[in-house]
Amino acid sequence: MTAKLLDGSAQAIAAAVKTGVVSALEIAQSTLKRIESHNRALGAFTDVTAGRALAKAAEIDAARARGKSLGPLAGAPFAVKNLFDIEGLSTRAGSKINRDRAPAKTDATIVARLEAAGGVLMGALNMGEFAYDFTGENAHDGPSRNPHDLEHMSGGSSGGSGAAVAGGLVPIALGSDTNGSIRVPSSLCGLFGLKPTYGRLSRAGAFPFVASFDHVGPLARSAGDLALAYDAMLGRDDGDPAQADMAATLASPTLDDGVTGLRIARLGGYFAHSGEASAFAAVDRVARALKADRIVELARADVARSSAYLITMVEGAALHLERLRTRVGDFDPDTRDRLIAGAMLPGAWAAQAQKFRRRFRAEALALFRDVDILLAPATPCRAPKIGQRTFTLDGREMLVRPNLGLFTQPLSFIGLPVVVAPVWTDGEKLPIGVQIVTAPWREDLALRVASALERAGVVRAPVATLA
Amino acid sequence: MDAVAPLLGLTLTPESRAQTALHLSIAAQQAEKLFSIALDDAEEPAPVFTA
Repeated sequence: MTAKLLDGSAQAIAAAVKTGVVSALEIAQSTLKRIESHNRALGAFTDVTAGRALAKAAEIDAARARGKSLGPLAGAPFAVKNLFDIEGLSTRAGSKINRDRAPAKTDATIVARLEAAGGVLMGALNMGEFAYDFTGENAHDGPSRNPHDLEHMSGGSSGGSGAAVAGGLVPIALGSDTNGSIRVPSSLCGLFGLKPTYGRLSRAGAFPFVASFDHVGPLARSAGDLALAYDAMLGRDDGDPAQADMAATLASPTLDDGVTGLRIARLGGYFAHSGEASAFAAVDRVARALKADRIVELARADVARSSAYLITMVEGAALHLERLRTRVGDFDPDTRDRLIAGAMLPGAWAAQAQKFRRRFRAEALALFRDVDILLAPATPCRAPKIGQRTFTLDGREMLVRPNLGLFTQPLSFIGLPVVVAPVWTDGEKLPIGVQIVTAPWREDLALRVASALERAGVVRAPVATLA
Repeated sequence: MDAVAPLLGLTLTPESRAQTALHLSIAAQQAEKLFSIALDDAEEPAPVFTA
C-alpha cells in the first residue's frame, strides 16, 4: 500500500497521513528505501537528509496523535534542487567550487514554506553547474538521467528534480528556471512543471544565476500537486527584493473549474519552426482537446530569445567573474567557456537587450487583451541521448546544451507564467511537453487548463518503471 | 579575446580558447539580430530603479 501511495500524488499521501491510513514515518522510511535503491541509476539526489526527514515525519505523527490539524502536504516527501539553501548543507548549485561555502544557517524561504505546510524534505538534487545548462549533465556529480530511458537526458538545469519526480522518488521537487530550467526537464521527463510569473515566489536562499530572469517553482506528477505546492509557497518575503507586491491568488480552489470561457490560441511564427515533428504534434493534440484552432503571433520572439541569451551571458559572467579569476580550473569546462565569453561581451549589447525587453513585454501584454491562454512547444525534441553535443533543427546543426531551451527562453525573458504539461504518444518511450502560457499573475488559469487536460486524459505523468 | 582577457584578470588556456571563441561568435549572431530592431532613444530598459 505504501508503494502505491509513493507512486501517487502528494495530495493522496497527505490524505492518508491525515486519516491515519499510514504514518508520516512509514512514508519517509519507504521513500528513503526507494532513494537508496534507485538513486545510483538516476543520479537525482546529491544529499539525502535522512535524519531530518525522519524527525520531521515523527513530529507530524506526534501532532496528529495530539489531535492537531495537519497541513495540506502532511507527510508528503519533497526534495529541492541543490541551489536552495538547506540548513546545515553547503549550497553547491551544481558546482565543485561552492562546496567550500559554509553550511547554510537557514532554509530557503520556499523550502521552509513547504515544510510549514507539512512537507517532509528528503534532500538536495543534482543540477547543471550554476544552472547554466539545459541537459541535466554535471561534470562533478555525473548526469541526472531520464527515468523513462536511462541513456537519455533528464533535461536541465533542474535535472535531478525531473529525475526524482519521474522516477517516483518524491512526488514534488523544487527547481529554478532562468531560461527554461524547470520547463525543459518537465518536458523531457514527462512532468507537470510551473514557472510562475517573475517576482511571484520568493527566491530568498536560492543561489542566483541571472537576477533579471531567475524564477523558482515546483515540478510534480499532477496539476493538483503543482497547485498545492504553489499555494503553499505563496506570500510576501522581504528577503527577495525582486518579489512583486501582488496579492497571493490561490490556484487550488479553482483548479477544477474547467476551460469554458477561456480564450485559447496556439503560438505560430517562431514557435512553429525549429523543432521536430513530435514537438508540434504534442501542441496539436493539446490544441485539439481544447478546441483551440486560433493561431496568434508573438512578434520578434527570435529577437527576444537573442536578447535573453545575451543578458544571461553578461549577468552570469558578472556573477562568476571572481571565481573565473581565481578558480577557473574548478569549473565544468562547458560552463566555464560560456561564462568567460559572457565576461567579454560589450555592455551595450546587454543594455540594448534590456530596452528590447520592455518593448517585447508591451507587445505580449497587448496580445493578452484578446486571449487568455497561449500554447507552445516546451522543447524542440524529446530527450536527446546523454553526451549528445549537437542536433539538427530545420536543417541547421546546433549545440544541444543552449538550444533545448529555444522555445522556453523568449517567455521567461518577460516573466510570463507557464505550466508545462506532458504528452505521451503510443509506442514512444519518451514524452514531450507543451507550454501553457498566460498573462502575468494568472498562474491559476494555466493550472486550470493543465488540470482539465489531465482529467481528459490528454496529458499525464506516470512514474517510470525502474529495474 | 587576447586583449580583453588580461583586462578582466582571466587566463585563457588553449582548451578554453576555441570554445570561448565559439560562444563569442554565437553571441555576435544574437547581437546582430537584436540590433536589427530600431529602438527609440527614449525607450526605457526593463529594469527601472526606484529610489
